[in-house]
Amino acid sequence: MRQYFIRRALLVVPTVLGVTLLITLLLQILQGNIADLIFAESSTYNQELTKEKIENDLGINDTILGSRFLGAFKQWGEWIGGVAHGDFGEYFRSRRSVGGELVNRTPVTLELSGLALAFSLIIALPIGVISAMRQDTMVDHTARSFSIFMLALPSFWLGTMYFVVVGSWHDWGLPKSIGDWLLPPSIYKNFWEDPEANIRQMWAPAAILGFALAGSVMRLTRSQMLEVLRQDYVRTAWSKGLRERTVVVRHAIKNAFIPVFSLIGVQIAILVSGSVVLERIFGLPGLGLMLIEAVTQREYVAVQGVLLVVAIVVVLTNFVVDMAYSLLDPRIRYA
Amino acid sequence: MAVSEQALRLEALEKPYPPAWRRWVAGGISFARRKPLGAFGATILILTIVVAVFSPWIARYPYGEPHFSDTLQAPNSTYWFGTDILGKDFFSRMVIGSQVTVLAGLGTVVVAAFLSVLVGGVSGYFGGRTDMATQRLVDVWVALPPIFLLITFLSVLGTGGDGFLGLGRGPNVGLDPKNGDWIWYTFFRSSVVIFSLGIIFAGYGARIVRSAVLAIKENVYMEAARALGASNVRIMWHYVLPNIMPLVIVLASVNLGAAVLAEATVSFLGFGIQPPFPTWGQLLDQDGRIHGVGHEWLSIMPGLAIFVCVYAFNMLGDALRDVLDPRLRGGR
Repeated sequence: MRQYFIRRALLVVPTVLGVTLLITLLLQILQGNIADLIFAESSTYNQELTKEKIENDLGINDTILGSRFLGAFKQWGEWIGGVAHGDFGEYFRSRRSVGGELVNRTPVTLELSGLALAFSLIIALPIGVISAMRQDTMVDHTARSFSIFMLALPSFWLGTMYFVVVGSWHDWGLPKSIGDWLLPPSIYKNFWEDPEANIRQMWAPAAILGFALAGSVMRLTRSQMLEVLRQDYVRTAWSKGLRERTVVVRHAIKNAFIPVFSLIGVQIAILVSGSVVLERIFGLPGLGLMLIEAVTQREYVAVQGVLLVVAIVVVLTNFVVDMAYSLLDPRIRYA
Repeated sequence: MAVSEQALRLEALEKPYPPAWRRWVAGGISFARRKPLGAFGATILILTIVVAVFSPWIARYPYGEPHFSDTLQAPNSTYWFGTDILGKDFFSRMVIGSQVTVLAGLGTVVVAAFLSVLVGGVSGYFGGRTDMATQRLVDVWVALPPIFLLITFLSVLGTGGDGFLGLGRGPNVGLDPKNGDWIWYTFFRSSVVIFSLGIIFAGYGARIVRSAVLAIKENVYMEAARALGASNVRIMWHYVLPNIMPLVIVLASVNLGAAVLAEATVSFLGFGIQPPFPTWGQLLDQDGRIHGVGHEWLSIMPGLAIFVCVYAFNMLGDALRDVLDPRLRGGR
């Protein structure tokens, strides 16, 4: 166990570094035209500007033995060295610090993902448990078809429809005060600044994102509950004459929830992915929106920064969940 | 005893073996009985493919043709799904857009299946250092959430006209627009999306294929093949591949819905096939999101189409998995 733990821990850092190296190589080989783009935009204003000067300023024409591919390794090394000292580089155009931007943006995405996770657990766990307790009844069938529907509902459609409904609220003659509350404020406020505005902005995207997750959580909860409810110790609990609530809550749920917990490790990737879409629709300045902006403007240093942060979050969560899983369930032995 | 057995065998031989098409039909009917939702999924899939292939003839107007006197019309008998801000027939645009859904869905799972068999197969078959190195690569491959990688890939490669490695440039030259709308040319247009999605989906598949290959390697017939002096390529082609085929088919069908959803997502975010060529995700963004208030059909139609397809393909994937490889049935 201990050996496994150490081996896994040692793999975390190379994996994250590997991701950034891969992205650097990809960008370096394929991009080619950031200098062209800036040149096209700025050369009318600055007649003395040349492409070589831009490339030099950006530090993207590094070569080793005349090869841009090898040069990418050098560039990556310099970038990683900077990151180790807390310097994530700066935007090509505005010279803003990428690190500062990441510090501003990460909490938004974390808040959105955290709320969404909480929301999905609140709806999925009880429904999953009830669905298993009343297996093959109307309740079960409804819950299951509902969960399959939720898996297929695109979150970007729900987000779009939210604005269509809120926008048409007045035209449809619905109560104005509710419609006004539902329309999120257009300027982002963080929770400490203005809790009410923040909640008004956050609840809808979090609910939609949570909705997308709830389907799979519900299905897993149900199947795990069914398995646990058939175990001998649960039959013992029944035969002792315990009430249904005691059997389910005190005996069954604990064991059924362990695999559900491990699903969260997989879900974190889905959460962060989903946040890209919802941040875009709801205009929340999180990491996803930062990536979209950076990618459209070819600010590749910023792209690198976002991908690094996301890779760290995902790899670390998976690691922590795996480790916690084996602590929660001592039967699990990793070789 | 022996005589009657022989008689039985002869009788079985004389009974005409049903032709292939009848066996397929019979198989289809029994599948539909056992898995009605799976059959529903298959029907929707076939329907979408038919619509996509014949879309230039099904569409009522050229997809880019504006009707300035009929802008933002609600669905009616002339414009079945209404019109957008420039008076383009939304039905025609949706029908043409189905090409990308079909191509991206099927293309992605084919590319992903091919790559995951290649990577997972080599990794599992050779084991040792090759396996170790490949697995670390796969770790890196799946460390990032798919959307993040996709957006980066697509923006770097560009989804403009030329397609993957400039493939889109060739066949389109000198064709009149009507023929240019045909699905064959859309394939070249969407090649960047297909290959990016395929490469990303393959990372997850490679792990599953690898573990299947590891299990197959333990079989005695592998040892027998080796003892007979079969080469690695021969063993992989004739012994390993046929045994992982059911798994690969299941993986592909389970991924189909996810691939369609991923394509729609990147299109919605503006990184998919570029306008003027329509895709469902792009229509939902450019028309539904921007002009949807008061013109609900613009946001309902494309979203509903994506939802129905993803739902149906998921059902088909689940049903095929249950029939072909029940071991894979899990919580997710």
